[in-house]
Order: sequence, then structure tokens, then C-alpha cells
Amino acid sequence: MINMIDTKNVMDTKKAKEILEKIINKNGSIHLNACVKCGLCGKSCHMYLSEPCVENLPMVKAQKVMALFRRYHTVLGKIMPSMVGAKSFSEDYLEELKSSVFDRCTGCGRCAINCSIGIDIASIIRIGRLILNSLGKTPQEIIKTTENQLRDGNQMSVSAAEVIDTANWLTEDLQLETKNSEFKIPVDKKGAKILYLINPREIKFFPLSLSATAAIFETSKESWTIASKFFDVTNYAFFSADNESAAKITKQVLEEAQRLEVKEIILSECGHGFRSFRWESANWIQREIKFSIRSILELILEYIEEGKIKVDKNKNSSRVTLHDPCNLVRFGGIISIQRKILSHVVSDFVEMSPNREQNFCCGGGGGMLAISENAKRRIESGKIKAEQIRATGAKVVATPCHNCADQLLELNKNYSLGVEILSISELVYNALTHLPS
Amino acid sequence: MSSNIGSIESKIVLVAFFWCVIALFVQLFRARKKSAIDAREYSRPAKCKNIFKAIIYNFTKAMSPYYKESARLHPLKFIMGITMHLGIFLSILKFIQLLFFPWTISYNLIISSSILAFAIFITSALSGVFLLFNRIFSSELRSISNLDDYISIILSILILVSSALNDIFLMINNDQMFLIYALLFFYIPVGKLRHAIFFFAVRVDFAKKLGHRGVYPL
Repeated sequence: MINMIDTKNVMDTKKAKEILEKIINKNGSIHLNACVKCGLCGKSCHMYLSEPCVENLPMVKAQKVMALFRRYHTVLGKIMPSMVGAKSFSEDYLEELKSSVFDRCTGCGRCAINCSIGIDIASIIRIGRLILNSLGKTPQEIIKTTENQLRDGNQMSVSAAEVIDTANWLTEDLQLETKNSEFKIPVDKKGAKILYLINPREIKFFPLSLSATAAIFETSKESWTIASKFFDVTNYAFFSADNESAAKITKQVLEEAQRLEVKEIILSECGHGFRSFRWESANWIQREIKFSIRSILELILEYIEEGKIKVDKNKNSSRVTLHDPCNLVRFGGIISIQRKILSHVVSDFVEMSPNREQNFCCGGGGGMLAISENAKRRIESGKIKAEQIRATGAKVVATPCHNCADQLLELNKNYSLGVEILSISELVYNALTHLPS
Repeated sequence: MSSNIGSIESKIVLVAFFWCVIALFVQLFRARKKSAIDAREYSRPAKCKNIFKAIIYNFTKAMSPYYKESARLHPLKFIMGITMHLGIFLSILKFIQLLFFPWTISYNLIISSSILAFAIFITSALSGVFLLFNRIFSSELRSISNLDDYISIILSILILVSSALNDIFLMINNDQMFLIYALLFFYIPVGKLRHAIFFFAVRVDFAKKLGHRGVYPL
């Protein structure tokens, strides 16, 4: 009766239930069954710590998904929904769900490793995003960015001409700076050993990061190339849990790697890009990937340890701290590599507290940076990270993620931290011994 | 060496017990990914992959206050929770002993008919009462709680109290205690108490995922 009057709440619940059923069958519901609502996860969430309200409790965000599961998949939820907090599909409820899983959560997973039961709360948030995506409720900014990637090969719709042009002027700059006329940034070089996937931000905003990596590749005499079209390490469909588009984006890059006849795909410093490509992409396309896929950090450490590049840590004498991107560390397993690299290239390194798998999200993950209406909350939720940085007394914050770098730049400005944000590659480049100072 | 199954109460609790066990396992089976394709992991494992160690880690170190922030930041609730759950495990053992192996009582095992058992059950029950009051008086927890949350904890406290009273001068006899246990067993699979089995499942599942990626063990 209410639905007949409240037109806003009229929705195709049959379709929604079918979608939920499909998602549950595909993803399983083990984690949806285990929450005891102890509420102890709050203090593990940067969002809750910066804005302590019930809506920001990780458990409450996950419960928004669990409530739908209980309503349609449990006995008590079907006959006495209010007894177990089960909720039916409605337009209003989907708005609540959207607010929980897109506006109040970056999917960083810090709550998951600290959950008293051990529930993978981040995967539940992804199920929530999957439901919303299937019902056409993903925030427009994320949809548009995914469309860019599907249509133009990269999330920022950078054209091939722009890539080639940037590579050319960066090559000129690099040759001038290093006084080595052989250094170059190869584009679409067939038969190279490595296809290096970059973040389009490196073309648009952080060319020095690409230039630094290029110098490292060239110094180590690596056979490498970037691609002019399908060069993007990111996968925005990951944020909307749009697995179909995520698979298409993955296939585009794999076909490019095949066309260029490379042996290995090396991923630029990008948290979600690494997680997507290294761990999720094979499952999206449902087959094993024949290429070896590694982070640039793994390769740089290999170069240092094998003596292919020589570094002097005294060239980076300012105090440096490290921000751990959630998708690279907590969900990616790249935990000690960046620390080993920094121990070679930085003379005064100090850890944030907490760090590694316990490090706090910068606030810009999970697609949060793309959703403009969340800007205020995003900056506020970064307060925890800003306090972490300030406590170290560091002058430089190293982060192996361009997405995090964007957020850290804003935190730097908003919280007057007075720090420089650099990628690991840039610090390695600064420390190279056989380049002019 | 006979069992204690004779009274109507013992038959009721027996039915409830088997209903509980079967329903939990059916739910666990249904909660898995449905197709072999979806369940398969296609990504290449990390070089340091060791799923077994990751699982062991997730059931040991990862649960300690040193590694788990939620335990470290809430020491009182953590201790109360652990105490209550220890009591519940012991009370289930006591139930199994009384119903299926009553002849073992003469061996003076800790779980039955001793002052120590009484002390454990009463301490656990008091921990449960603390957690119940915490849920009632914390505005945040109250706002997210449903009837299921209260029923679950009250049933847990009831079995702990009945186990304790049964231990001291049989203030509650076995049959009366069996009826309380029957209530609990009937309820476990339908409410949040089904975490009794899903707790183990999620820890294994998460450890497998992070172990494959070389995140766990830390």
C-alpha cells in the first residue's frame, strides 16, 4: 500500500531479488552470515574516527548488505524481518546502501583484519557495490570514468598522440638532465621484454614519476616499452564492482601486451591498479594470465640487489616517511619490498604509526577521489593520515600510489603539513649514483 | 556405559541438538560459492604463499590483542567476550557428557559437578550479563541491536547459569537443564548465533585469500 502511494519507492523488487540471488550464488555468503554486531570495528575505521557516528561504523555499513541477504535468504528474515534487522529492496533503502558503500567507505579493509570475528568486511562492501551497479545505482563519476577506459583505453581519455608527445618531450628532458643521449621512453616498441603500464595521471599531472622510472629502466639497460593506447594500469570498474567491464578492460591490456609481444607486464605505482591486475583480473576473465605480472617496486628492488642500478642513500637526506596504500599492502601483499628499497635510497627513514597492514587509508581510496560530492568528507576522513604524517616529523612522504598521492597532496594543503609527496621511483631516481646531481 | 537418553526432555534436546548441527552444516554448504568456476582462484599465487600457515596464523596470532586492534583497544570487552565463549564451549561439552557419556562423570572431569566448573560457568555468565548490559546501555550498540541480538545473549547466559546451578547441589536437574539447552539449540541456526560455525568458516576463507596473496601470515 505504501509503495502505491510513495512513487519514489516503486522499484522492480523481483529483478532486484534475482540480482541478489545471482550475486550471492557467485560470491558466496559465508561472510554475510557471521557478524555478531559487537561494534568493536569502529576505531579501526578512519571514517569513523574522523566522524564518530553510527552510520560510519564498518559493521553498520556491512549490515546494510547483510540486511538484504537476511530478508531474502534466511528463515527469520523472511517471516519476522524486524527481529533480525532484515530489510527489503526499496528506492530509499538503495540510497542508504549507496551512502554506506560509496560515500562512507573506501573499502580499505582495515576493519576486516581487526574484526573480532574475522569477517572480510571490504568484500561485503564490494557485494553492496555489485548490487547497486547491477541496479544502475553506481555514482555517475565512476560510471563515466569506466566508460572512458572502455572507449579510449584509459580512464582520463588521454589520446595516443598525447602519450607519444609526452614521451618525446620527457625523453628530451631526461637526456638533458642525465646528459645521456641514449636514454628514451619507448612507445609501442614491439618485442620489448616489458610492457610498463602507467597511470594516466603520470601523463597529465605527474610526468616526473614516469621520467624517474624511465631513467631507472634505462640505467639498468632494460628492454621496455609503454603503449600509446592501452597503457592504463588502473581499472575503474574495480571501484563499482562492475566485473564485466573490469574483465573487458583487462582483456584490452592483455591483447595489447600480446600485440607488442612482450614477456612481462610491470605495473606502475598504483594501489588499486596492482590489486586489480595482479589479483583480481584473472578471476574477472576466468582464466590464468600467461604473462608474468609484477609491481615496479619488485623490479626496482631486483635491480638494486643485482647491482643493475647503483644508489646512494645520502642523496635523499631529508626525513622520509612511507604511506602504505591499502590495495597494495593489505590486499596486495607488497609490504616489505618498498621498505627494502627505501633502506637503500633514503638516509633518514621513519615509519608512521601504525604502519604496514595496519596503516590507515589516506581517505582517497575506493573511488572516493572521483566522487566530487564526497570531497568534504574525504578531506575530513584524511585527518587521521595527516596526524600520522605530522607525528613523524618527515619532510617527504613516499607513496607507491598515484591515487593516494592525489589525496595526500590535498591533505598537505588542507592540514598545512609542509611535506613533499613523492613516488618511490622518484626517490630511487634521486639516489642514482651515476647520474649528475 | 549407557547414555542419559530416556526422559522426554532428553529426547527433545537430542532432536534440538541434531537439528542445530544439521541446519548449521546445511547453511554452511549453501553459503559457499555455487559454481566451480566462481570458486576457482585463477591468479598466480605469491611466491611466499602458504595457505596452511596463513590459516594457523588467522586462528592464533591474528586474534591476539597484539595484532588485533579491536581487542587491544577494548580490553574489558575482549576479556568478557573470551570468558563468556570459554564458558559456552565448556557448557556444550558438559551437555554432551551428560547426555551421551554420563558414566564419565565419575571421573571428575572439570566440566561437570565440581566447584571449579561452577566457578567457570558463573564467571562466564557474569561476563555475558556485562555484555548484555553493555548492549542495553551503550546508545550506539542499542541503536544497531535487534531482538535477535538480545535473545542470543540471553539464551547464552541461561545455559551458563543452568550449567552452574546444575553443578551445585543439582539446583537445576539434568532434565530441566536439557530443556534450556534445547531452546538454545533450536535457536542457534536461525539467529546470529550461527556464527558458532561461520566464525571458523570466515577465518579460513579470509586466511586463504590473504595467504594466496602473501599478506598472511604476518
